[in-house]
Amino acid sequence: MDAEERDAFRDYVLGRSRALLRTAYLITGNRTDAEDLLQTSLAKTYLAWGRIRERENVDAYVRRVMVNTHTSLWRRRKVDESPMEFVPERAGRDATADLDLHDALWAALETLPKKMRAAVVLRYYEDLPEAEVAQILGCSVGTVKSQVSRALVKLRTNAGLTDDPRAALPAALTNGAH
Amino acid sequence: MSPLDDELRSALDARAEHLVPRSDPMAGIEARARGIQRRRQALTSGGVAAAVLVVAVAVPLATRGDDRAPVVAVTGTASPTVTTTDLPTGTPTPVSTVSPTPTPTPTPTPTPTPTLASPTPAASPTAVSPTRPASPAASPTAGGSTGPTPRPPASPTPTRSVVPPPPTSGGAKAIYYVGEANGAPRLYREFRRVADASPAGILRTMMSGKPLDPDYSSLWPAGSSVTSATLSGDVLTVQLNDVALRGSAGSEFACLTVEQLVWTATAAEPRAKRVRVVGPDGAGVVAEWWGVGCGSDEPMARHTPSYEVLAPVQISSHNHGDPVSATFTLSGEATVFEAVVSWSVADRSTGAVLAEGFATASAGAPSRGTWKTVVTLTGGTAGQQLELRAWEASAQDGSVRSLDTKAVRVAG
Repeated sequence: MDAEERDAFRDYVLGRSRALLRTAYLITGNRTDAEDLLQTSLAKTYLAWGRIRERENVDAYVRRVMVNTHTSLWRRRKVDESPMEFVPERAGRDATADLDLHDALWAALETLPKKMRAAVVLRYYEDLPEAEVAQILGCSVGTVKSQVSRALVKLRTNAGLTDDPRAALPAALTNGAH
Repeated sequence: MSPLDDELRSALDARAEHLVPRSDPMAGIEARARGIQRRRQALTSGGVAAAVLVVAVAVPLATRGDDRAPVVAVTGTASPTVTTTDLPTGTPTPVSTVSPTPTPTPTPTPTPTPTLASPTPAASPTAVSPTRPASPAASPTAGGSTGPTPRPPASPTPTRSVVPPPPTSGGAKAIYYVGEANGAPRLYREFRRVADASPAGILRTMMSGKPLDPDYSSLWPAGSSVTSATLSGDVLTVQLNDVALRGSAGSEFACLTVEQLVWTATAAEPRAKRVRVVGPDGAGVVAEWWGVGCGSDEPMARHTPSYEVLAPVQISSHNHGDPVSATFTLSGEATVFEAVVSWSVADRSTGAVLAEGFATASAGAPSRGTWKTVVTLTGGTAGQQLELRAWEASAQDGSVRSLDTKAVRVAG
């Protein structure tokens, strides 16, 4: 990598780190893993920089590397640990109902399989179209749709949002697209 | 658009919005890029051997007979589902001559990667050795197989006498280190001579010393040490100093260091089935390990299944830098599909493969087996730098997986 390319890469990193770190955090669920994942993903991007910087959407490339790296990484199996033990600390004793719901959703997010979780983050945090999510995850648009639908059902159930059971079923499921 | 969608958006936003990255991430990114590139190069040079081996794979498996390693007895330090041994192997088996295999295949150029500042490892794939005969009859053969491809005429007989076994095979102690296999952190083991062979002494060596193999690493902060290691029943209580509690790594690596400690400690003290890790005040430290948390503070047994912790393929007979003779035993352990371990010996500067074949492990995945083969080098010259390689050929496409390598030199 020559000096000019390295500068361009550095500019990219400095400009996009914040956004990418947040995505990594939402995908992994904690800061340490997020930083680890982002650093690995950017290192892989660095190695491919000459190849991708002119031709590709670099953000999409980094997201793809991030998701692939994360879903292929070995996760330590936590013996005798139920998903609910992941429930994060409450934002505060006087948390509003909104905050409670956020916490519940966050805790429920921890119960999703990695790829499903990534699909939710890309779709609802990054607001990417389904086609782009499919490209990043390396699957079909139909798979993205069904993954996200199933994720929403799980999130609703696991977050304890049972007040309106009908709303728990996204259109895709009620249409029999499952 | 359901209300849940909106709630989800706002919950994710709220979670992430305060996160700010470190100010200058470039140094860390470049360091990691060098590590990744080094591994890729190792894989690429291994890939040449794999490509050559494809022909040999087509040979009926029965011809592997000569490489079939005898089942090696295993010792019982492991938990019941783990088959492993922490004893160095080294007993000779019947010799299977492996014909030299010139590799006229030009190395495929990997995807263009930017040049990095760090020196590249010696295993970089380059040209074919000019000293090897370009015999058109040369074909990849494995384990003395007589497949459909013609073999080169009588191999020249090795002239050098057999040197004593490598220094790893007596009085050496098992020490586990952190490495990577297929992109995931895994434990690898080296047999090291230690001045103090008590469990505490072995653990101190693990923490303070560097692994011989540059592919492995030690993540312990400088100054980490073990204050004491005390056996009570089947629980070994290992007390660490303050420094050892202040490590930093991603959660996967951090928790693997706990396993590193547990596996090394239970190898050092065979009566110990579980290890309790405590700090200077005697309180358990695993639950809050290195700012990450790695389970509970209860005494820990070796993690099962072992393949979630151990590297799938491990060379145990040699350490990095060991001498090899013209004929030597290559052995190790593996958790691989159908128990088949691929191996080769290559010249580190030319990439030319001097010997290659398969070995059969005493058990196939998900069990861990031991494997062993006798390698006869033809035409090796004293001082020649070689690389021992062992890996699993992917069941899907034959690609190199789980590669372990050892840089060695021909004795003389």
